[in-house]
Amino acid sequence: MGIELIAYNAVIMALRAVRFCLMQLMLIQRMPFLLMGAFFLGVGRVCYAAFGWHRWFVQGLKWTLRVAFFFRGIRVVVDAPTLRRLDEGAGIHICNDAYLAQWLLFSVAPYRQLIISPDAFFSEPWLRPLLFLLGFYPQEHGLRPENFKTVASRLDPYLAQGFSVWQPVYMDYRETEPLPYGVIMALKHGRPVHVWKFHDIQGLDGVHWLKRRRVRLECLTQVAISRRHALTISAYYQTIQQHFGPPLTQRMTSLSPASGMPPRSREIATAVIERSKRMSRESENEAPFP
Amino acid sequence: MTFDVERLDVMKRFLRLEFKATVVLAVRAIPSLLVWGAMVLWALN
Repeated sequence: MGIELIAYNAVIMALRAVRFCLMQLMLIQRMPFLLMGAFFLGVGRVCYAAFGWHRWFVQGLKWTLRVAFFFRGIRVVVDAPTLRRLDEGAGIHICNDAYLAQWLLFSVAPYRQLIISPDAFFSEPWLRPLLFLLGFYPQEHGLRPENFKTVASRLDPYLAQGFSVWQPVYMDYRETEPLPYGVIMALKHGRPVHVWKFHDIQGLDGVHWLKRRRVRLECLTQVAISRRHALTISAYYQTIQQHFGPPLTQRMTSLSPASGMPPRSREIATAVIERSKRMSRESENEAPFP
Repeated sequence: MTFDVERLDVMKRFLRLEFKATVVLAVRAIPSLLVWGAMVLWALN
């Protein structure tokens, strides 16, 4: 048993060493994209600081990323039958999140878009100014449907100038997560919520140039903002349920536990409720006084 | 299922994932390996 574990650990360490060597060798094929990226980052940043030129700095990086994804075996196709171009749908866009979703979105999104990313995306302090320049913004915590009208948001000036906001959301965890920041901003500014879906985005880490993947970003529907906010929120969740299925918590509770496992809290609670009901029925049937 | 057997099972799955990741990276690295191979041959000749 112990020897087996040691052998497994040794093999895992050997595989990691092989991967480390391969990564160093792969620098030669990554060099063109690294140089292009470094050029757009360096020269673009200087031009932005000196002359305020921002557009070609961002567009150059988007193009570099798109080409790098293509050579890696990933191609993103935008499927929006109601929109002729992606930048026509001004408003709030919500899509499903996955591995590389933020960067795929950045590579295909037009210039006047902001991408709301999770907090972990901004964990490196030295990288934050660059991410802000590229249009990645963190969500503001504490904004709720009860207080968003009184709280000023940093997105307000952007939305007033016709920018669109994208937010990838993990749809499976929507029961345990608060209402997406993008939806709250849509309620605040009265903009429609476009719901998008990345198809075939699962398992992108296993894609290579021999096993290529076409990721389709489809515009599913649009949730209009009504005067009653509760109605809009309900319509949003209903749309998500319709297109993305039940959340993970519901799917997990429907699964039967493995044999020999202790009872789950839900089963314990059901048994306790049944027992208390039975006891109350029995006590009702008893005579009040002997 | 005892704790040790479960741990062994987790290690097996982990090993499978590591192996899969290494194979994917090796396939991705084929162009670089070809270039490096050609450079070595050129240097030897």
